[in-house]
Amino acid sequence: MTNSRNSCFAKPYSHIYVEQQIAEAPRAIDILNRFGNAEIVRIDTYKQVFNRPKQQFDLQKKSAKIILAKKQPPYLQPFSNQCQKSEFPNAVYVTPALGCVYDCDFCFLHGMYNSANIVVFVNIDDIQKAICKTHEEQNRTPLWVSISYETDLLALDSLGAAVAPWIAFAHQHPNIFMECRTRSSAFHRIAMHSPPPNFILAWSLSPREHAQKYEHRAPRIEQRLRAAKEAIDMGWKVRLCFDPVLNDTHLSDIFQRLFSDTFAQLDACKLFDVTLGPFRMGNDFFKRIQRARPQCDLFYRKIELEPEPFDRAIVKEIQKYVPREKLVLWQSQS
Amino acid sequence: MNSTSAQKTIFIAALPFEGGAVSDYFRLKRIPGPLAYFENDANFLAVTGVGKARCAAVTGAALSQFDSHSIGAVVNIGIAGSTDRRHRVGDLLLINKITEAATGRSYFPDMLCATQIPEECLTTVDTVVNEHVTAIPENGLMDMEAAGFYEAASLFVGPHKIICLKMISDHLSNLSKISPVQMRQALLQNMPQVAEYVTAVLQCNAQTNAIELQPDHMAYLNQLKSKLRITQTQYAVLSDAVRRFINAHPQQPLPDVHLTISTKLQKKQRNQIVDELTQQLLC
Repeated sequence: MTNSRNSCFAKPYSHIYVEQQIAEAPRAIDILNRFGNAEIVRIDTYKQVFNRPKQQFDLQKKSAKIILAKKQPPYLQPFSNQCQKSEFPNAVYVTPALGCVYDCDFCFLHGMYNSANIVVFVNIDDIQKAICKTHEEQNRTPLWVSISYETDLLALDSLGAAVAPWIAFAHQHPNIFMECRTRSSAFHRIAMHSPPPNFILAWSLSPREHAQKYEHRAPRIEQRLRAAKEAIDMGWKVRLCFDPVLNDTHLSDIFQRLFSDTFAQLDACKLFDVTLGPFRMGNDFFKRIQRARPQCDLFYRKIELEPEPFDRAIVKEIQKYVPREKLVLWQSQS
Repeated sequence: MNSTSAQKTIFIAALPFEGGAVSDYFRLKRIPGPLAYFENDANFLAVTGVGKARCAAVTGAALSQFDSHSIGAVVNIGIAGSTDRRHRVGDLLLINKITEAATGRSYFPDMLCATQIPEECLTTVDTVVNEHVTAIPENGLMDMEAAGFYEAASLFVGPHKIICLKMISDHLSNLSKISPVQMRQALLQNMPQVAEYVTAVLQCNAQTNAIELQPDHMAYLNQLKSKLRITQTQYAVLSDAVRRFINAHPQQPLPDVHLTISTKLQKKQRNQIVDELTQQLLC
């Protein structure tokens, strides 16, 4: 089981760590069947593997493992103040998985977790029940749930149907709004489902120059745009997130090109909305990534972690394509 | 290992015949002293004695002689009994899970490296187990040291540098039938596979982006620390800046500013020097 890109490394997902208590769960069995050649290691709790000290994140990325686990309460989490302010007063996120298949230098997950392995929680039902309970407790006022916050759920779909249960859930609960944020181009994996009106597919886009430099393993911008276009054409609600906007000497120029390329393919009027978010990160996470990624210039610039107002030129540029009512500029949750 | 790297591979074996196989294969020389240590340029061996307490103590003592950056890998090598009759005596197995029977605590070395060596889980027990004892904790292999080894090794290095390889000695029934000499010979026959795997792990680990500071970098930082009386936070910031500098300019020496610094500077002036030096390193 060698990994062709890095010949001495085992293939990604060569090992699957399985919590004893969910070893017989249907979703666990489904994922194990997909990886028939994987070495299976029984564990008591995912934290035994995921939270080990002194793990080498970048090495693990070259041969990531899957950890199948049962999510324990609390299932719903409030957003941190680093997140885009939601238009809904009741906004939470859930974590059906932890960790991401991509390796973006600017991602807060590198600073948040010790491990590059991917935890998949198989008890989605429990998470969904908790969402319903909260929704009931709040007198069924609209609830906004981010389902792809500490992961990229669409990218994870190839490990085992990760998004479909949420699409079904959205159909059953029209007053619960869900956002699935992604850099994946694997829309085809969910294209067979009818699009729920309360389910937003949100594609993160960066200028080509930044994507090539910082978004390792993620699909190219052209692929993401194709996937987004396909989704719009099939009636899905699509949000575009130009986030994070990384500081650069030719920022206006490269964003001018990105906006021009994007809206040459996508009709802004057909989008749910477009968000623009600066690079932001908690100080602790930033320092941990800075230490782990000395090769990444992003963490060695003089950088303001508290985002400043956007470059006017970029806002002006995007307004050429996106109506003001569909444009959401970053605002902190707090 | 055949590697010419400055990093050493540390082998930990419980019994003299286990250590003997390692010592024979790598042509290690005994280091005079109370503990059974052997070494050559690239490898170091400690023979710990039986039981997890001894193993943990000697592993800790052995590893504390090295800076963590100079340890390439820590390898527990030895024999183990198996509950599984499909394992043949003499088979070499790579351990992906070590459970301490007494506490139920489990340890997981990283399995990042491609290998043909079959994998198995292992339980570390406190007393000799045989097939007539009913309370066999978990299927797989059994030994008396690996949990102590892992716990001690993990104080010094991450799971990507910890390796546990065991050769099947018995099926919890016929231990006495095989002599230590035969075991040593069988283990020696497995050593090329052991060496190949350890080399592959070292190759994998060498691909990290993380930069470990070398002794000369540490000396540079420590000199700054004493001359500028910098805080822990400033030390951490400067360390990161040094890492960044090494990565960006691998051929260049570190800026030679500290030699001209007077110790009679005011705190404000010292802080200014630290800030300027940090910026210089990050440029």
